[in-house]
Amino acid sequence: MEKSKKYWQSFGELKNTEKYRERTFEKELAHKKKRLPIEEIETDLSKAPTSRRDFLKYLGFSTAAATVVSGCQMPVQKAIPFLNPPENVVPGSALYYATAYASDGQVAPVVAKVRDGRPIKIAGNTQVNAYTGHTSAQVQASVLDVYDVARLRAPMQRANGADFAPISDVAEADAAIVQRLKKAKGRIALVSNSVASSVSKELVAAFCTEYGAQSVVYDAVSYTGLLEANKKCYGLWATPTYRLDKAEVVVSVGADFIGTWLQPMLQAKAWGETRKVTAARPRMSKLYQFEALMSLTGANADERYVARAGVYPLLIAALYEVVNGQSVSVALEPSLKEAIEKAGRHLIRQQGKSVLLCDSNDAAVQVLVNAINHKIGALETVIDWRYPCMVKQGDDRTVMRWIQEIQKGVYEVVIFMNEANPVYELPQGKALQEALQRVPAVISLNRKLDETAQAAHFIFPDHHYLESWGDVQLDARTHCFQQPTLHPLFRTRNWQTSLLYWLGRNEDFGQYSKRIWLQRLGGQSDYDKAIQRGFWIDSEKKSVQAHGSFSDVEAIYEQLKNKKAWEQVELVLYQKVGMGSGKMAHNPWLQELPDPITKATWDNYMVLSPKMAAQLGIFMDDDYEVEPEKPVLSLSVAGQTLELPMLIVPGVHPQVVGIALGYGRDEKIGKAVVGVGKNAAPLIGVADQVFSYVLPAQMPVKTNKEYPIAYTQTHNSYEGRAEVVREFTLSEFKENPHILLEKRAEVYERYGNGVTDETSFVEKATLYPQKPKDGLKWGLSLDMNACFGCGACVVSCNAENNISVVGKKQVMKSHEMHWLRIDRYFSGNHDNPEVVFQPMMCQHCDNAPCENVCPVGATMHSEEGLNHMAYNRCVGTRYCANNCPYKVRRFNWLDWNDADSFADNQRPLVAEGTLDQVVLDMGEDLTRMVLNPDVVLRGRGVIEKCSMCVQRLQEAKVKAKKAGRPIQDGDVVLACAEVCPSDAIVFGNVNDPNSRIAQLRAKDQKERVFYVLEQLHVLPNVNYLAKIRNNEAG
Amino acid sequence: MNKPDLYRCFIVCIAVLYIGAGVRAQDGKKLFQQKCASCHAVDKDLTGPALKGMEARAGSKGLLFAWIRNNQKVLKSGNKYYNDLYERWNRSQMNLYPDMSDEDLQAITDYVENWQPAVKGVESKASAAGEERQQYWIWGFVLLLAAGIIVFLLYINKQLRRISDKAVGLGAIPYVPFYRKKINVILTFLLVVGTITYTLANVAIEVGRDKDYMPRQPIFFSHKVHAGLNKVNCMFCHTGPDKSKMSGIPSLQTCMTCHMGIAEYKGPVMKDETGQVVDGTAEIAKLYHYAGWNASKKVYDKPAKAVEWVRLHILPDHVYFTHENHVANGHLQCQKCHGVVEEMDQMKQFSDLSMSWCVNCHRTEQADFKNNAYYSMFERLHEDIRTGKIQEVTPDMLGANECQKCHY
Repeated sequence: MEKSKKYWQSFGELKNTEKYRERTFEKELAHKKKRLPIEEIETDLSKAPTSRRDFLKYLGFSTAAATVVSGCQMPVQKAIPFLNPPENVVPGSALYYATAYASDGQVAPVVAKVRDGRPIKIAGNTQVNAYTGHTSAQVQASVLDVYDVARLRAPMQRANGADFAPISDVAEADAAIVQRLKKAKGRIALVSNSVASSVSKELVAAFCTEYGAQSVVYDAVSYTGLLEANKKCYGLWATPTYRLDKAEVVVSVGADFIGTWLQPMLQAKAWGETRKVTAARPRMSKLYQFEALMSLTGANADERYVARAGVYPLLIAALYEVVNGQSVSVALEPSLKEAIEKAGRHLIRQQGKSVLLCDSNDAAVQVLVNAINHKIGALETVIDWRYPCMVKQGDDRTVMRWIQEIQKGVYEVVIFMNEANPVYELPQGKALQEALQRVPAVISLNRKLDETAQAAHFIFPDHHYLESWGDVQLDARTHCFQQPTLHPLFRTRNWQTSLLYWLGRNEDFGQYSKRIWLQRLGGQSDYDKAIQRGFWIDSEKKSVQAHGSFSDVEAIYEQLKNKKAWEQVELVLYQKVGMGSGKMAHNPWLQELPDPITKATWDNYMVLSPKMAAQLGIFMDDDYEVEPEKPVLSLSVAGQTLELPMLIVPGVHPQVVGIALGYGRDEKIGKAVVGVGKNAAPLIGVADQVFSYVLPAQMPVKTNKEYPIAYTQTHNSYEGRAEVVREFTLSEFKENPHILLEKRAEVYERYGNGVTDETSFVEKATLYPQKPKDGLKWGLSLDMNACFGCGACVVSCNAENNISVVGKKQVMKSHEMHWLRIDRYFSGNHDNPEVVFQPMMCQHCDNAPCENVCPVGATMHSEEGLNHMAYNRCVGTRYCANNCPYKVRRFNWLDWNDADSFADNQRPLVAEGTLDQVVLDMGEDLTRMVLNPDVVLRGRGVIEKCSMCVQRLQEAKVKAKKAGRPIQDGDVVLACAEVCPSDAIVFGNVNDPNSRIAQLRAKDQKERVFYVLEQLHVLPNVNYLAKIRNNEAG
Repeated sequence: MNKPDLYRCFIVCIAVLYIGAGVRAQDGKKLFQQKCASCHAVDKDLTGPALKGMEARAGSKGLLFAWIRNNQKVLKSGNKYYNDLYERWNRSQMNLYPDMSDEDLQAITDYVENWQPAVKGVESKASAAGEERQQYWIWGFVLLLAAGIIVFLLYINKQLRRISDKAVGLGAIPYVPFYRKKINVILTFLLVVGTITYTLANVAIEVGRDKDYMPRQPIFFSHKVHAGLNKVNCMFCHTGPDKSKMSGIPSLQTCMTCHMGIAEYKGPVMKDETGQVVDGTAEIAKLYHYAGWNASKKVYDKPAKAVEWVRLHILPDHVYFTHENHVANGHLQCQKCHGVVEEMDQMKQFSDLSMSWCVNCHRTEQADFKNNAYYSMFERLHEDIRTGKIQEVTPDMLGANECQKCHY
């Protein structure tokens, strides 16, 4: 480790000028003052905004209010028991149902926790295969969607030009639609996103045969290039399973494979396996990333190279040359040429244990990638074609043809289903919207009044997946099952049910699906078992022998090699890790999840490099990051202009502008999207009938407008305290495994009066007496190597601990309530920095600085090593938050949940503009059904923070006591650990020498363990494992 | 074998017999409560006849067991005693228990035959509390009397000193009446302010507490009749306390299991909170109304409606309480917190459910420390017991009174 390696969260912190420090400090205080009128009286009473008279009024009112309230009688509560208790349901205890998530091209077998008849939390189902069990931020947030107030509640129809009205007699409407369908035979289109269920696919096929309908399948973000290449090379319109756990070397050209590309959940889990380093086994995989923007994968790369997306084909061509033993003849920048040679040689050296990934949507490029993977022997090991995966099925060419046809007026009935929302998602959305007006019958089977449904004549809203029966195909032989976890909340039905009714079948999809699966599985008991486990593996399914034919690869290589990269600025349309293609943009948990790289919430924006910003005359001066207002740029692409604010992100190519898809949704899908970002889909290009997300653009132009972006980058600063992050290269670590222990010894010596070991530092460098260690003592370990920063844990914590949503305006005031944040640190070069992610939550210090400053004893230490927080004792002095060196305590500035005794104290704030509308949604009775009943809602004016999922600890203790055995590993899984793809979070009883956490600290990872700000002697119960970066050539 | 060995052997045998008997008696009671108590009592008729002496009446153990397992078979066999019994009980059928083993049935029979009416220990406890209160008043009176005497003596002492001073000629100290004395004024002021503050604080603390809350329920359900007179086990109806945070309020189905056959109330007079006599049969009719049960035709002919019971025990939202830990692990009796339920016609909130009440109990009750292997983790406390430093372990010593054990 370089002695002087500097980590920075923001440019201001990097430069650290006096002015910047002053500004952040002022900023932090300014808005806080505003909320306390009494502070402003200090100077001149007569000029004070709150006059003496007002003060007396408040005093009088509060006295009167207190009298009235205390005079009130306790409200009478009713207890209504079941008439006939359902089997197995014990009020107050949870049930778990295996089901499956499928949305936005992602599938995941999951387990839903159901309390008193309503799902409140999702966890991954780890039993299906080695790659399942991780659930992304979207999957975690999906449980909130069940209780979405903006969901359509009944079938609706409208006459042309009129508003939608609920359909009272659905059977009649069904009959009318059947009549129409019969009349329109042969001129019907079924438009859907890729259907991952085999039963539903058969149903769609049956419908198409019956009515001569055209099936149009597309993916919100297209993978047609990859699919076409696979068709060409292997004869399969499918994708393989990438077994990245078998890969020693991964070279990725633009593919954000742990964030958004293809199947990130499965890939992140697989790749995570290769990132665990111990001193005993100092080995890890190596990732080379070539990319234009800073992606999540790029941030985790061992070696990252900045290349504009236009040169990806050239890079692939060059790699083709290297793996074929030729020298690089492609015209590339010298630095990239060198890097490609290095990466290519590494691919060959690790033959059979290496793989190349690329996110290009150009079939030619993907054919070449296939050829390279074939050459380096990835096919046998890393790329698994035995059971092809059919989650992505979209064919852009069909979509393009359909759009032309619909504009010509070919169709009489168009049905949109399975989340298809082309008006928003496709570049031709606007034209499509107009064309749809001329179609006699447009039917939407989506759950919400989305952009496409607004153009419909009939809407038969779909169930949420937690309300429905169904199946999801993970790969050709693995079927996962969906089962309802609650009774449908509204008058909705599966989109498949609508098709069944219109086919004249007298059964809904649940019955239909059960009938088919009973046949396939053989009997009731096998069916029950499959539903209970949530999956079934078809052991009789024949595996595919993918040999690959690469006959015209040379021609493709020649063609790509000579491809000219354009010279001007290029626009790259990307997806944010939390937002994806925007299907769940109405979900406030996802909107408030900071983007891993930019740390921005609630908006999309142009990301560009410091160099391009400088060209535009925008410099990262002392104010740039302090104020949320950012300059608005105007970007022209192929005749279209888009105005968006900008954010400077180091590591972006100087000639590239990035814009996230999935924003600018219509307000009818929920309050969360009101005023949030702009839709970039109209900018998507079409090259040879296939969608392209990389486009030539004009240099953006600075407008004189400004726009605030709520980003958490500068919140919770450590004020320059050093050594928060520990990082080494693999060779440093190999050379001297004790390097960190030595560094820590220096700390002990300096701050502990000359002691040199941890034990004496703990015991002697303090005035406080040592507490006896007995019974339980919880400890948490976070592996910074395995943490990718994906943010799934943040959303999981939201769901488990009823974390409040505060809205954009309040995030701008640093009022976000997340108990767990992921700090992102840059280090090194501006143009291509290294990135470290550090999840940060309450460290549960044994000598907690927060505890001894609380005037009312609201935060106390437990014998189990936890820092307890009693919300109802807290009077809101915030001394604890001020004294916390980790800045993890969050204060409830407002009544986020409408939970106080005085009802409705949010609406005036919304009216006055202090609070966003979305916060109102969170107080609705429907939305509140998502709350975890084991965790209390915090009211205004109290501090809260990570409780280490104390409700789960308590439950585990009760269960262990009942079983009459001590607490064991696995009894408690924290909400954050439950979703971590790479098992970076280990939790357990430190006093049990056999527990994983004790073993890890004392033995397995002894050399990598460190505590943040250890010199303060606050003795955290949370430890971190140092980041190791693989710098070895291998 | 020498004498001490024999002796030891004898003791072991006795112990084994004793423990064995204990276990079986325990099982018999448990089984009785699980399987029989919903329809039978030992000493009186409920839905079914009183069971005391059932073996003697049946004539043979084999017949009795056959009857319990499958009464229909016995009836068909034409056994006179049981056919008569069947007729006498209006042909109401008994449930079938084909899976019960001979041991189980024997245990139940043993329990029934050895059953003794419970000693009314609870009542004596209540009267003891009454006595205690009386003593308290006596002590208060004595203290007051003593204080009066002291004041009187001090006054006399002072008067005497005045007189003696005068006699000696020391000069008279100017007379200041006691109510003008500064020290007295200050003390009185402090006393008054203190008393008011203390009273106000106590009143404020009491806000939201509802000890003795006794609302009228939609149906006058008497715990005294069910749990007291008919000895229905608490957990027969409240099924949750050993497996969930909630004890659970029984479903209408649970009520109807027994009340299909019990349409009339014939027990002792029930009185409500105002002293009015409650007509039990009318209350059962209310139940039928809710359940949609037609008592004359013996069918459900109307849709059932939910009974909206008035909730008695309400903890604030910021308190997490789980029955499971207290009942299953702490082995607490329901009466500990809910009072002598089996003597309450109308249920009331027995405890004040205040935090001090929780905390004090955590300080005095014992954890199941020695028997439950869960606590093997607490080596230091085990060591302290071994060395005699402590005698027992209370939940408090295990951290039960820490904030976030209940507030989360």
